[in-house]
Amino acid sequence: MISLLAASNLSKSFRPHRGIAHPVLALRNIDLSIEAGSVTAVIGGSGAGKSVLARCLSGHERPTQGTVSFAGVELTAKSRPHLVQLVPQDPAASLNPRFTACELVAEPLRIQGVGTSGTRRDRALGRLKSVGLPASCAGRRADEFSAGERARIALARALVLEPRLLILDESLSSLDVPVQAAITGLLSELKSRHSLTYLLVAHDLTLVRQIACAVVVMDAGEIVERGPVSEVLGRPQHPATVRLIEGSPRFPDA
Amino acid sequence: MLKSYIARRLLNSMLLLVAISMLSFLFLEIAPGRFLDEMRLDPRVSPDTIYAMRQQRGMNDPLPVRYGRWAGGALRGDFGLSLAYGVPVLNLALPRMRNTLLLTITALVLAWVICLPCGVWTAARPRSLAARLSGPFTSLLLSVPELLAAGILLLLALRTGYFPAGGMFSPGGRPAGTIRAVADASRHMLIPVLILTLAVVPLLLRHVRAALESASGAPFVQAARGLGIPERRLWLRHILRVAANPLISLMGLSVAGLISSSLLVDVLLGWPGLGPLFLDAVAVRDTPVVISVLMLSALFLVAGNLAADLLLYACDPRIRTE
Amino acid sequence: MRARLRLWVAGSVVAAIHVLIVFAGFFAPYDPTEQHREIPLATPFTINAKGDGRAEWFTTGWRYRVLGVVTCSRHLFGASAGGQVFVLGTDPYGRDQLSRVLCGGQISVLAGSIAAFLALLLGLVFGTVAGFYGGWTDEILMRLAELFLALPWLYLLLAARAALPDSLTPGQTFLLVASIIGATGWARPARLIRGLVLSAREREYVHAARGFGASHWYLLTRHIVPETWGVLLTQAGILIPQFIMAEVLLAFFGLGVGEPVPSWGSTLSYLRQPWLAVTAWWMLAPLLVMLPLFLGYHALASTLQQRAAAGSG
Repeated sequence: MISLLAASNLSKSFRPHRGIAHPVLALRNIDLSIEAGSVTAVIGGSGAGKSVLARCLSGHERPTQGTVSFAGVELTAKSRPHLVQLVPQDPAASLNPRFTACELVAEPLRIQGVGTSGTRRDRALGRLKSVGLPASCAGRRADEFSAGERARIALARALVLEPRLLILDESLSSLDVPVQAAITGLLSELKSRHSLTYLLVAHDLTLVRQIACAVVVMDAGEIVERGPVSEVLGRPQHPATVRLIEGSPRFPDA
Repeated sequence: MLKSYIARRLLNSMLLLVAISMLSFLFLEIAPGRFLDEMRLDPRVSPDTIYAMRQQRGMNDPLPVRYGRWAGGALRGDFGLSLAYGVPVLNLALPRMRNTLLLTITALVLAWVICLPCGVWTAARPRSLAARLSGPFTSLLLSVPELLAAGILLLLALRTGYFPAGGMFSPGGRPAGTIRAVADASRHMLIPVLILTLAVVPLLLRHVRAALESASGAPFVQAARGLGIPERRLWLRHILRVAANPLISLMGLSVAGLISSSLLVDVLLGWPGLGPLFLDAVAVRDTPVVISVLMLSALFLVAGNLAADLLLYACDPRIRTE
Repeated sequence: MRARLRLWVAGSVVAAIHVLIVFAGFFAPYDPTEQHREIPLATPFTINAKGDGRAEWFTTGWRYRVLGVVTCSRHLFGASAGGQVFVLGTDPYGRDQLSRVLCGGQISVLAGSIAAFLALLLGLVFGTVAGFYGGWTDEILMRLAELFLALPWLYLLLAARAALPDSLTPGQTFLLVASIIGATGWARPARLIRGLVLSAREREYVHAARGFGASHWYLLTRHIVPETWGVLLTQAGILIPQFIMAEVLLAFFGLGVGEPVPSWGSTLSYLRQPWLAVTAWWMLAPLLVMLPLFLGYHALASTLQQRAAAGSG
């Protein structure tokens, strides 16, 4: 197996408000490698640093220390949007309500200066179609869509630059169950169609069991356990993992 | 805690005043058309004389030196000599400042005396006729610029002739005897104070009402109402105290409005306040007077805000623990 | 629904007055500077003062320029040859008050609008820069704004006027006055806009656009500045009348565009001779246009404000 994305020795500290002397360490020396075509889930309690990790990998946050490389080449501000994309925690809020669906999906192309406005529009329409939204709704504005449709638009936007890795930062947790199920189905469909790799930040272990193949457990800014889903969730080694499993609701046939 | 809060507010105000003095000094110094430049046009005055006059007044020194000298003097209460009158600026400005303060403080007190009960009344009975009329009424008053309102009032006063409009004393100067002088002055004050009060009341009333209404809708007031606390007690003991915060901040705001309006009223009614002095100084570019009056007006404003801050401190326990 | 009606009424009053003022030349029967020395202080509705003419519709009279370009001499009404018509009377120099009110409005309204545009532009630039970049830039700009707000505005305005040259052509004075008013009025809009930008830059979609590699310019122009349009519009509704009044005050104090060019302020300056204004009430004629204009602007601004509040809340 080839490693698609590799983070080495990644640390991130935040300088809190004035008056507090010590910077807060959100990530400590993270080493992580993600295999091409896999679905890796990052789990952990709240404040464990999952989101910060996702945002450091996607370039939304600048790590204090360490490097992130993609297929052996270090990511730069220029290359990153074309390779790694993040679908944020609340996909609906990440859409400017003034923009139409088409403008929203074409925005990354526009920012990156890809193509002309005509070709950008065509590509955006294509993406909208591939996430299950008809071309007829391309002219509607973001606030006229339902939550599930907005999640689809956010997904289409993340895919429009044809990245290889998609980071989903709890992107599904704001949706209700049937919509979540539909989007999960869409995700696996897109994965095979565009040969994508997913990194999934999640707290819902049911979802993780359902779609992930590898899992990484984080606690207090560190990776404490990692391995295939069945192994880690079936025979947890670290107390943090045990806590997570015991704390999550279990249904007989989930 | 008290000391550090007051010290912080004081320091802030001082810094603001220093900055204002620099700004006003700077933009008047770099300006063309200074007092002596006008003299240059006069063929009877030789350039040498002007140079000597400039030298004598230290006008040929570099800017920071002049500012330093001016600021140093100002701290000792010496704002320099008026270019037009040749007398110390403070001698000109102080009596006039007193007159302006007389008007503005009276108007401020009057405005609050009117607005607070009216605000409570309209906020407590939002369905009453008075409350429903007060909205459009304040709105109407708010949109009429004070110059126009002042002009109309002035003309009404003149037309009816009930009250003197113009000056501080009746023709013939200050009457002999303190009591008669005060009586005469207060009759003359009536119109200007009325105009000034009218200039702040609409804005004040609207804000007072809004503050009281938001306080009276607070959950704890609802709870108190549920406990059966009588309305009167509720308003006096609870709602007013909660609304005190925004009301006190409003005080600073009302002072700001009054100071600008007072300039207008002074000029329009010939009240011997800072207004006419300032206006004449602006017209002939009497720099020291312009700067000093500007500084004094800023001082009022800063002092008003400082007073509001201190009152806020006295009334709001949360600031003390901050 | 009532708000909508109010918006319409206020909007049409304001628009009508603006039309009246923009095409003042057409509605004004006389050149506002023309003196009829033989009939000073003529009472309003003095028609046919000379005795041998009639008031007529669509006459030809003094030449004026429409929008500063097209020269024209057609008027809505006037007196036929030999007659005179002074609908709002004349001033002590025998100048037609109606013409002075209408043409004076051009100076005052244009100065107020230019000043408001300038103040909003400065406020937008400074507020956006302060809110978006934060740190030292923010600190310095906001301290500066505080400085401007700590000075009573009328004193500040007059002092700024004192700092600038006096003996200029009317055109230069006009531009000067408009820019002083604008330059002293930027602080309040700047503060408001800074607050908006501060919250706008933390929105999820701005972060998302950053993630796509957006430049600062892109973020500002596509995402952040459009958020401020509503506030800018409301502020314009508040600032334009306020700045018209500022011009009126400057002219009233004799510091604006000088005579004989009419402005509302200089036309109103007879208020400084109260006895004249008491006996000849039509010296207050500018009020007939100014009051509805200010009422209209106020209603517009407050309705817009309520709408914005309802939209966000």
